[in-house]
Amino acid sequence: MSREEFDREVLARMEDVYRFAMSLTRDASRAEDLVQETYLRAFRSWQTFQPGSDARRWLFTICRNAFLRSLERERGTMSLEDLTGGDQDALGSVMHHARMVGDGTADRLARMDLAPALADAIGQLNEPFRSAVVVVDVEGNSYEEASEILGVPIGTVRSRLFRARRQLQERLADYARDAGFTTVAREPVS
Amino acid sequence: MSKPTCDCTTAMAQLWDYLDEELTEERYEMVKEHLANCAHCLPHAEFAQGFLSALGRCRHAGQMPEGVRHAVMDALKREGLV
Repeated sequence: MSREEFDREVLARMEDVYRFAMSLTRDASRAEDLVQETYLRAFRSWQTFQPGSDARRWLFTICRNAFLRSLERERGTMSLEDLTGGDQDALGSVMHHARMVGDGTADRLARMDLAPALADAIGQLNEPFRSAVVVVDVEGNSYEEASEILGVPIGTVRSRLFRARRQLQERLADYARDAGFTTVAREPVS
Repeated sequence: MSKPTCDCTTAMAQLWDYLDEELTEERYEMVKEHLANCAHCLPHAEFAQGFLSALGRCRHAGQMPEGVRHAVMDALKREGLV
């Protein structure tokens, strides 16, 4: 691949990278900084791009790594928890939903547009859970594609994703309670 | 040969994989069959499907401001990368 072809291919993906950065940061100014950082890094290491591979996925990987570095700078430190036991997380999520069915919250939530509440809730998720949800649920990548973007095994993608979905459902239950739909106390996270 | 079947716990443990279409064809059909015949599990699956649909609608819909492209190109030029 020539340098001109590389430039053309990655620059054509800037809208995708910006949307992804917006999903990660939920802030236009931070997203702009992240896109700029992503492209600087991409152009500095353009030789590492494999011709024929997916430029969008490659840029998402760089963008997500730059996002993590920005969080590290902001927080000084961060904990990237590698979770296992995806089936337990999947069941935990369903069990949480079962409680919402039991108290009527699920019925009320099912009749509402959950997207605005979920968009806020995604912004409150910590890493690595936020990236997992954004890459798979918001951007629509498969587990295999997410594994490549996030740089972790597929099992870790599943585990993080299911844990993130559970956290989001818990936040929905909070949202329903705050909106006066239910007075049932929030279940502790296990 | 009869179709493989599963119980509620197995179906619910695979619900996310099922909705994400990440199961093998055999497992997918097994969970699908279970959901079609289980009044207990179906509401969970329907709620989870609505939940995932709502997450899909969280994708940022706005256009990228043109200033972003200019800022990126300026930064690349400053660094001598284009």
